Amino acid sequence: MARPCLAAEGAHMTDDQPSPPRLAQSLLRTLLRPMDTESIPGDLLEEYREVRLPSLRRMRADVWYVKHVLSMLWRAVWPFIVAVIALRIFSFLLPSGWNPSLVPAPGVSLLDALILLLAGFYGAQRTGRLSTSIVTAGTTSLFGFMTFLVYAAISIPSLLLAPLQKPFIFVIMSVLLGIAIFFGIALGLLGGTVGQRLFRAERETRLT
Amino acid sequence: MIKAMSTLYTLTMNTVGQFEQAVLVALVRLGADAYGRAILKDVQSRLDREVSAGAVYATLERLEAKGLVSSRLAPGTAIRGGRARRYFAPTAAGVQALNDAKRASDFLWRGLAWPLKVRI
Repeated sequence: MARPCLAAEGAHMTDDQPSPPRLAQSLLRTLLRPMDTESIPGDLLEEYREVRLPSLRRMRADVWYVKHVLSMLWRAVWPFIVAVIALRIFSFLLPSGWNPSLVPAPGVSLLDALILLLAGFYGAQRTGRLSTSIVTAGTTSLFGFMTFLVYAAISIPSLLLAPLQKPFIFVIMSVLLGIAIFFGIALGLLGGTVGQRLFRAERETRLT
Repeated sequence: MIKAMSTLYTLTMNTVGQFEQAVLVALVRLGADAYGRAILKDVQSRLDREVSAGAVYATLERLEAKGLVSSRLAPGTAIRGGRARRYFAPTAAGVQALNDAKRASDFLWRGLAWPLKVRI
């Protein structure tokens, strides 16, 4: 019963003091459970305004804030990132065919799809929001793509210079990245829809 | 011997991890002032290293899920933009887990002089 009153109280307070980057604040809110959406951003804001801003410059204080928001993101996505990196390593070690690609692009395979579904499911099941699914699955997908790039650069070092010689390769890479992220978001939303239903069911059970 | 091993097994199975202990100890030390930011600072100063907010909040969430910690909301201050503070406190089970962890550690060290001497 106390939470809505406190939320309303907070919302009515005027807040014209310096604030951390809005994008980082939005990302933080997206990652938090409904019960934490006031207290955790409040703790970080208090430290930011009371200690970091006076002792550091604005930019360094912002970096401090973003660093802690990213630590929250890491806590939400690390099992899926570990899974996708492991999958990529196995893909390079094992003969092709054991993990069929759904589209001829990196990070768009059957097992990738499973990991991204789980990431989306976990995100929404935890917070009850589809936006969390998008962030968790999207971040996982981005890491999966980056792992592919790192492997490609290690195995064929000339690839690192190729985009400089032929700038069109940047366009191709951007399209491949776009496909991977779109795939991640789509599957995250799918998993998130199921997770959101379970979140609601759990909340209703608690209320009754 | 078997009894000692059984005691050690029971104690170690029920203990909390080192970071969880650091957070629980911070709650005990801070008492009524144990909210997120204060806990983070206390854990950082005790472990003498930079600790991420994500690690502390994830641990608090885990401890709460285990029933070792309880929390309550209280009104926020202007510097927080009026956002509520969540105060944490160890439950009876949390205090028990902390006592068990201390006992397990003491049990492991029983009969050894500290600091250990390196034999070359």
